[in-house]
Amino acid sequence: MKKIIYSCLILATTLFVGCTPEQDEIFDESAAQRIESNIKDIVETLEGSPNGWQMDLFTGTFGTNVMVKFADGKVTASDYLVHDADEQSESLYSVIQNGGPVLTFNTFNEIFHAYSDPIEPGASYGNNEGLGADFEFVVLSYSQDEIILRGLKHRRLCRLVRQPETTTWAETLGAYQTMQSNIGAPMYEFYYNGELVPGTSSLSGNSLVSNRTEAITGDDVTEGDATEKLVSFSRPIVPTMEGFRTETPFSYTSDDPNPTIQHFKYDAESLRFVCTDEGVDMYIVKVYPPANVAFENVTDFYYFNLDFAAENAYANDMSNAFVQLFLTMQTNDCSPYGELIHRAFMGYNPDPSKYKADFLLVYQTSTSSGGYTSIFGYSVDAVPDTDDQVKFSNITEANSNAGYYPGGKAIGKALVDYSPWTISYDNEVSPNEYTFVSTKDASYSFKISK
Amino acid sequence: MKILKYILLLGIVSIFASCSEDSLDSESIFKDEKTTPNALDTWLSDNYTSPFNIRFNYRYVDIESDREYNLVPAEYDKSVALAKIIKYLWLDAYVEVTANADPSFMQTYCPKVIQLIGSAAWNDDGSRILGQAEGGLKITLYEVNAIDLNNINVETMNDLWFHTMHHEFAHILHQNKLYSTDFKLITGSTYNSAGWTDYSNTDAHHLGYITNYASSEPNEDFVELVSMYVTHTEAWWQAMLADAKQAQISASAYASYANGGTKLPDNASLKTVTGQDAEGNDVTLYYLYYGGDEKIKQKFEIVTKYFINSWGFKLSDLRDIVQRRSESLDSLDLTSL
Repeated sequence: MKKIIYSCLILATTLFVGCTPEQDEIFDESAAQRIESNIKDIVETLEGSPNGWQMDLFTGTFGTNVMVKFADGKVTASDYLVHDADEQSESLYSVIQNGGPVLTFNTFNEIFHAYSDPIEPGASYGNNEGLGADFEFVVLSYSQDEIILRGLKHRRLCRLVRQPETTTWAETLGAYQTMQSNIGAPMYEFYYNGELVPGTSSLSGNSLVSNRTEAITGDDVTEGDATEKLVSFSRPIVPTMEGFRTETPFSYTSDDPNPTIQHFKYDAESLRFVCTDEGVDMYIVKVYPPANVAFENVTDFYYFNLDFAAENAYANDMSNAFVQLFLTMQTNDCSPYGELIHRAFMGYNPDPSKYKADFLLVYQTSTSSGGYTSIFGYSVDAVPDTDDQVKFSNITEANSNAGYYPGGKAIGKALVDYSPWTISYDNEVSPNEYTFVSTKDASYSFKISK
Repeated sequence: MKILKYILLLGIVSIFASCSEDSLDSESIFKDEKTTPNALDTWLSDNYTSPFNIRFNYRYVDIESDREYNLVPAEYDKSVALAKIIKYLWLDAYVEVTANADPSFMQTYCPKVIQLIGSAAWNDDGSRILGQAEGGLKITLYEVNAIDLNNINVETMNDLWFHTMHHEFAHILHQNKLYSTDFKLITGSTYNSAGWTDYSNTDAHHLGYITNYASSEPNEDFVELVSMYVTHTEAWWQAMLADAKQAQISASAYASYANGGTKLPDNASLKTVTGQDAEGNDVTLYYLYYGGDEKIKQKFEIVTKYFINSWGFKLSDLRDIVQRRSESLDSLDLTSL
């Protein structure tokens, strides 16, 4: 009998414990209601700024400024990088529930989607990713003045800042455009904790690139090893009203769990971008070197003024001796195979892992069905104790096509044979043209431009 | 003891009875996205959703899109045009041809989601996807932003979209009603699921297939016959059959094949035709004879019988309707709703 009573007691206790019908309500509304109300709030916030928003938009490699205004389910956009600042494009947008509130620019906007439209692989300026920006964003936080977004696909962090009603879009985009120009310089020097960061670093292409050489120390170093290593990183940057900021903070300490370097303010007098983040001692100085040093540090391609594939073939801005070199290449290497030299350019090596050279000399030929690219490598150095002389050396074949164009190599060899060259540029701030005249034989001269 | 059992039972029942739940919330946690309908939304509701239960997504919908690719949405104006063209050239063509046999044909069998994408879906090797269909339920059409609203070209649209739409819809039909197994026997030994990309369309014609993709497997062969037939004119069809039959070669090439200097393709034989030219001179024409036209005709006869017997309409009637509508596409207002 006792056993039965105890059994009943245990059973009843267990069942009563498991049967607590009341739950403490943490929220006043259901999850669905809260999300719905959240979405409504976000739409009201977006459309609540009568003059729209300034948007920091990050692509795969750089950041830029776009103006956006939301009204009645439509979004109007304007930028200055891909289109003229006075152009606008209208499309539709929605805020939807997709694992959280998501702002989606869900019909094509000529300006906004220019940063995400995929490009045919092999196209001269991209791949199938296009520029790699997002057009769907998870809303991470929002207020009347600022909305923080994270791209749904590429997960890039973007920010909307409320545009003052008293400022026109043209004024704002103009200010950003000015800062964009201020960021540009031929070279940069990065100073961290008062010391020059060794190596080469730049802000070109709205990307902060740091190639820092770091001494190898410690027990791992044995005799004969390299004494320094290259530590590289890059961060997209976006112009701000004061200077620029990186997409995410970075650090010069590799094991820093909380990097803090992100915001820079421009000082036009000292040509410096000074980090404004608390506790950080860093600034970046714009440097305007003489022409020979600037060319030694180019991060662009510069083109010869020629096109034998044009309806009226031409080879301009070069001496007759150089024209003859190109004609020889055309006659011997291209004409027998129905090819025409379409473009020739020289400049930096964008992919050192692919092309084993310091700099590249590139020829592109065209045929009725396509074309070929032949690439040669070379080195160039500023002649010591001069500010207007460079010396070319070390011409090599940098891709498999190069071997089919001995005339192309001959042009590179002329660069070496007639070195040193006197070099000049059209302006020191952002050189668009370089002119070369051989110091050995003045009949050899040429100009290249962006 | 019995009393104790009853007490125990009563206790358990009471306890469970006291454990009733609150009534369910009448509101579903899954909400439809609420946007104020614009002119296109209303038009789509009237022309796609209400009559056919089709959801026409002209807006980019993340979960309906292939995230493997980098894509952008379709332009609004071009979506308006394509929505009207698809209805006129595809949806209403089937409605018209099945009006007598089965007025609810399209309501029953049409895919339930059409998703537009503005850009191409580029693969790393430079190839691109024009359209995709998933399980007969959804069709995705890419490159909508490539439409030139000032120069609507039916041939381009057939290549980009309508060939895919007829192709995928034919899959839905044969999955609902099977076609004769005799079809698979006609070119049964040469289907090549792994190597069909090695063939050109002319190679495929010679083997008895209407396209190279048709040679991948019998079901694709069947639906390619349907889609290529419906989207092309009779003149194109006859030219394709002529290409499938034989290829003209020079006298010297003929001699080289004849004397073994050049190896004859496995599926070809040599053939000459003598006659007179326009000036009355005797001439001999030399051919590599493949006979692919006969195989295509045999298969196509099964296809046409299938549509009559299974669905109650002639495929030639559908083609006539599609061609008639294609020719009058210029008169369609593609901008106003």
